[in-house]
Amino acid sequence: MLKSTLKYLGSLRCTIWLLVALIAVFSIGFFLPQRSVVGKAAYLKWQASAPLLARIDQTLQLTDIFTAPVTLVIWGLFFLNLLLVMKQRIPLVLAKVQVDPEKALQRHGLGPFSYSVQLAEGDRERIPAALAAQGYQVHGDADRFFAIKNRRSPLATLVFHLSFFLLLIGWLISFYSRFTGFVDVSEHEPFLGELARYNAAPKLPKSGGGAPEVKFLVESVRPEVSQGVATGIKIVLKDEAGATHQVDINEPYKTGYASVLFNDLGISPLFVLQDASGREIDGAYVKLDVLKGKRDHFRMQAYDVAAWYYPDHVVTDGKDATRSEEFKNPAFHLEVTRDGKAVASGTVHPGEAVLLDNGLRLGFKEQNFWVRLLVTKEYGREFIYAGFMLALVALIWRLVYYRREITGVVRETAGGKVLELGARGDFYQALAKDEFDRTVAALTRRS
Amino acid sequence: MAYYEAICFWLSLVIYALAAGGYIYALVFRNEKVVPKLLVLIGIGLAVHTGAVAARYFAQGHFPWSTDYENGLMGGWFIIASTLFVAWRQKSLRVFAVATVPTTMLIMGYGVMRNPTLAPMAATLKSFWLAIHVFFAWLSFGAYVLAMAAGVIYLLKERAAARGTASADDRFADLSPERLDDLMFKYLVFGFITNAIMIAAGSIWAKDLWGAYWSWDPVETWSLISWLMYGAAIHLRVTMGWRGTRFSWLMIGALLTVIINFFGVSILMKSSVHVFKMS
Repeated sequence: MLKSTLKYLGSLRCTIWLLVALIAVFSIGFFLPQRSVVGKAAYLKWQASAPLLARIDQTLQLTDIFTAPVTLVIWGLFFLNLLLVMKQRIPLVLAKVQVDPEKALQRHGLGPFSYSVQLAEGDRERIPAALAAQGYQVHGDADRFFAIKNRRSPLATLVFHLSFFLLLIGWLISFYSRFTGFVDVSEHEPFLGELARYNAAPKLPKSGGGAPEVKFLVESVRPEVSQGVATGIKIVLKDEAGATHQVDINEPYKTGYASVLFNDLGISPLFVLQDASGREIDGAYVKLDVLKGKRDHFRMQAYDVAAWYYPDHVVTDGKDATRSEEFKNPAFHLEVTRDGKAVASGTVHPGEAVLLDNGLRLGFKEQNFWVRLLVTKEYGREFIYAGFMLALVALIWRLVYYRREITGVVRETAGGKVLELGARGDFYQALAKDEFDRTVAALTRRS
Repeated sequence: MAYYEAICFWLSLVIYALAAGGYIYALVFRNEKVVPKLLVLIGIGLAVHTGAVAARYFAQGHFPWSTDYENGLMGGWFIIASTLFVAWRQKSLRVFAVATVPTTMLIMGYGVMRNPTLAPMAATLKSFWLAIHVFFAWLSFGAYVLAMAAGVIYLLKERAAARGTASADDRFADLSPERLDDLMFKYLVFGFITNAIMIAAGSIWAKDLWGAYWSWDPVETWSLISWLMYGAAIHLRVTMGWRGTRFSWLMIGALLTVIINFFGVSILMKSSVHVFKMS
């Protein structure tokens, strides 16, 4: 039973079924909302809109299909199949690579293509040399030879399968060593890598360990917006040694195996509370999530302040609005309450203030930015890159530089000496014939 | 759309429509003598099409490779260029245009109905790896379309033979069924390799953009489905001996996975990180 199961698991038919099974589970993952992809809010919304379907999906773990047991089992079987196929194939491939010219010559005439070339004086010696010039390895002598091109090409099959294992190892190392955490840092604010500074629940490595030792100061943040499109963001970080590093979208700051990526942008204005004499009694850079029309709020002393932001402020029909998403004329609309009672409201540009009760003023001193940075650290990339490279090399090696074999036997006929050629190539029929026709024509021309 | 881009785009579409009509005429009335002339027409269409791409490039300051319209514009360009390239290398392959030109018209037509608005390049798309990713994506798409075209011609020949209206060798006489069968596999192999490079380059780009090589985003998932589908096709061919009719249908059907990947995901999915928002 076990033997027959292993035999089936090592079969190429099983490979096909496993590929079909993977395509099926990935299709489920494509069409059904996946919790890891759609985000919590969207997932809960979908759950509320289709509760029965959501319950069925959850029970069967279809909404986490990529990590569901059924998927892991299919992946496990896939790699077991690869392993068993490799085990079976290794001796066959090695035997195929270590060609025995004599055995090949015994098959002479059995190949799909055969040619006869009438030999003239001196051709006999020239033809093997001409084949060698075309990249064939020629074994034997001028009367009986075996020529082979891309002899080692079958090895690429093994290399291709090996590349999957490298990718698997890389993925496993990466999965168990991976740290991810988001941290919000304002301009001129340092980050010393403390775990407590990360936003809620950073993902710690499953293999143990804490946050990576990534320390920097955010020197400046310069978002670039053109025609309403975010075209870039220039974030300058200064590390412990005083060296500066620029982070942009697609350009993370990399230190060792850790990366710091830009994730989100917010406004970090300096608000100050002044008394009637102009003395500052409180003040802070507050991190506000107010871009794209969102409302945020902060508290200063006894005051609750709701804030709306206009990057390119304009008043249209008596209402605050923004002309564009470019930060050309920033302004805040503030609504201030104390103990639930409205105290004041107004729109302020940098340097302006809203008059509160008791002669106090809430001033908007300057505008800075804060950035949400994604800090990641994982090992295993060497295996992943090596896997990618080997897979590509193997595909090209096996499918482009495929193997061609030619056997040649000189026979004496009434009309003189005739070279009988037999040819075979991997994978192709008509196209291989074209190639052999050209090869033989070239040999004939030479003769 | 930029002014000159619009002119070139619609003109190229008209030229392709004329060429497609010509090919249908050649097929229905069995007049394959017009095919070389139609190929010249397609060449003119490609030149005008290139004009549309260039006009958009100069209007935006970057290559068109992000929105559905731009996918249609560039994808169509690669398919037509591949068609002309193989026809130039081997005259007998001129007939492939019978399948590739209508495919191009459909994807360009679909694209222009979506979002042809000019826009600066989003920061997320400024990456060296993205250029590699997109270039190889189009190469693989072009190759898969050619494999499909070879499959269509194979089936047409076979149908003609089955009906007894012509022998398999009479229709498109320069192309034997065996040759078409090999060509399907050859284009599949080229597409599969370039597809693999596309996935690898995209994965490296994703690491720098989103912090992970693979996130099971719908586009990533579907591109893997598509790659596995073609991988299974290679296995079926090499190890199970799938050839001829079955393999032709496989090449035609598998192309659907690629079309969904390029154009369908943004319709079906709202949560893909590959649907690049402009803010």
